[in-house]
Amino acid sequence: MFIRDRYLVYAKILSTAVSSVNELTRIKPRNQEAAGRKTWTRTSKKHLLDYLLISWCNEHMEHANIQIFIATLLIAGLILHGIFTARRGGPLFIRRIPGLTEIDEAVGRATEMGRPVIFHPGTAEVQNIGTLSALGVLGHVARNCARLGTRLIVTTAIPVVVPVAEDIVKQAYQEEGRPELFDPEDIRFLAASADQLALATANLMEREKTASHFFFGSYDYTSLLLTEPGQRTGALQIAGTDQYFQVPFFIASCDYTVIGEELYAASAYLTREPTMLGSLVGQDRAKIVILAVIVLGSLGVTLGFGEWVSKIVGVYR
Amino acid sequence: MATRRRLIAAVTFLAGLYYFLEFIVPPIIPWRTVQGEVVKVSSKAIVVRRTDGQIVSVPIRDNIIAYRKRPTGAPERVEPKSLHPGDQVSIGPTTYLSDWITDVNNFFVVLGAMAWGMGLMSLWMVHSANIRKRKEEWYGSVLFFVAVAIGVVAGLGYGAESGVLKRLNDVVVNDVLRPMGSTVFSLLAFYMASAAYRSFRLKSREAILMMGSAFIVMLGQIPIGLWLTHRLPEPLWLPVMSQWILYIANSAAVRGMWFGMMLGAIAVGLRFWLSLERGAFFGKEL
Repeated sequence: MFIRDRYLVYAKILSTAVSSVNELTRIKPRNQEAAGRKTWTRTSKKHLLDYLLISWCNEHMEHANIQIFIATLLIAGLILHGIFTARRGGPLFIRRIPGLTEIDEAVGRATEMGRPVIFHPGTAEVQNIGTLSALGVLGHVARNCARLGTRLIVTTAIPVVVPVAEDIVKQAYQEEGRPELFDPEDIRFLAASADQLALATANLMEREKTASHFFFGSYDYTSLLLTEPGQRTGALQIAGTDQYFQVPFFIASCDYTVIGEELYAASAYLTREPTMLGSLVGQDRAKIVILAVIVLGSLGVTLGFGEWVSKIVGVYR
Repeated sequence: MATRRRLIAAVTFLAGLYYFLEFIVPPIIPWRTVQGEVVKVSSKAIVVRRTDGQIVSVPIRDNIIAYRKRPTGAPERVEPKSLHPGDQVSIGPTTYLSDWITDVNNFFVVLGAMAWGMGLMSLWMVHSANIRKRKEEWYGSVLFFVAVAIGVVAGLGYGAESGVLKRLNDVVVNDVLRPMGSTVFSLLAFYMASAAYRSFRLKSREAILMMGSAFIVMLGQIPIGLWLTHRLPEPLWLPVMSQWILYIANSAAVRGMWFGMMLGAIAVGLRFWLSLERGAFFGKEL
């Protein structure tokens, strides 16, 4: 959560606890096939209502059913409402995210030591949400580096990221009035696969004696291959990923870690644009709605209204 | 510059609108969908008994598509003529949006393939500058060009059934690249050990709790965990406790993270789709 309020945090803990208890105590039907057939053969006079209410999409959500459609509109509406409300003015409180706050310190450290900074935007394709969020952080890091005159090296294993990163860094240097400091050779496509890139980046860290490392984006098993050599060079390392399997590795080997949704909020947090902060507020409101659905749904199922809850929420077993 | 930004925003919106509509709009026109059980299949029509008992004949045309319900409940798209009597089916005229998804995805794959040249350009610039300026370890850059040349020649043997090029391809891929990849992967074991040794310190109550649960989960994965505790009641067996920690306690926390991440992804996607993202991508108001 980004807006404060311990009560909202407690509600979140309560809802996850309720869903866990529900998971422990739910009674599975003896015959799954019979349960499914019973739901399907329930008749309705209105064919359109049948189509809308009875979901085809039990396992493979190729297309939205009516419940997902309503949920999508509701969540999008809450986020957009937050954005447009924020644009009208008024301060918005966002809690401190240590990993993102220390980015400026890390760049300052590299400047004082006279050493370059490495930024790695993840191992996923450019259309991945994590990579896009990481490129947003790259813009902020590039602006800081341009302002302080620190060399920034960007490494990637995704060819499409190269021109995008080059454009972002070049634009940042131009906005800070230091276009002469931008070197396109510092945006490097080092290797075609993530493990080869990790080794090449580790070699770069040793050779260039980098002082600060930023690892933001979606990572696979190569996360530790990147961060452990960096740890050995004594650099300050800040990492952020939406892949929760890699979070423990980053926590173990980096000084600061940004977890999950905090990565997606990074652009908003760093730029402090009202539009972006407003989307965070809208996001948290949507989270409250989902928590309410979880709590009410769990209570409903526990009290014996499972079929009604399944029909309304659109989950069929 | 403003015109360029507006053009980018317009194209982004249209591209996102297609994917949004493709997901939201049903593949079959809702008010012309016929749902029920297949009674008869012929070359010209499918006869369906609707859920209210009414018999409807759906003529087979080019724009007619059918979704059959699998035993698991999930739908699968099938050719109307491949239906059998007794199948639970949803059939009707297509909205065409899903028919184009493959072509649209292929378009983006082609765009991505064009970017491979940019990656090679980036490597060329860096390594040729190293050789030209005789920077430190410039001979490594010479080796890079030699390796690229060997890789390109070896790649010509990909898919060949015999010959020198196929042998070269096999040597480069199977005898060089794969073992090297395995070697790199094996480094993870040592890195994990060093990271765990450095970070698992009993500094606080939370750290002790984390160490304890990690100890239980790790021992629960191997036979010695069961051997150590098999004389105790079953709920106290290490494998059972390990499974409880992983699938009950941990899943609650992971689900909480997933909710947040999915909502964050929706928010980021909305910001990009509507070009509301500020900062690196869209510096100023459109």
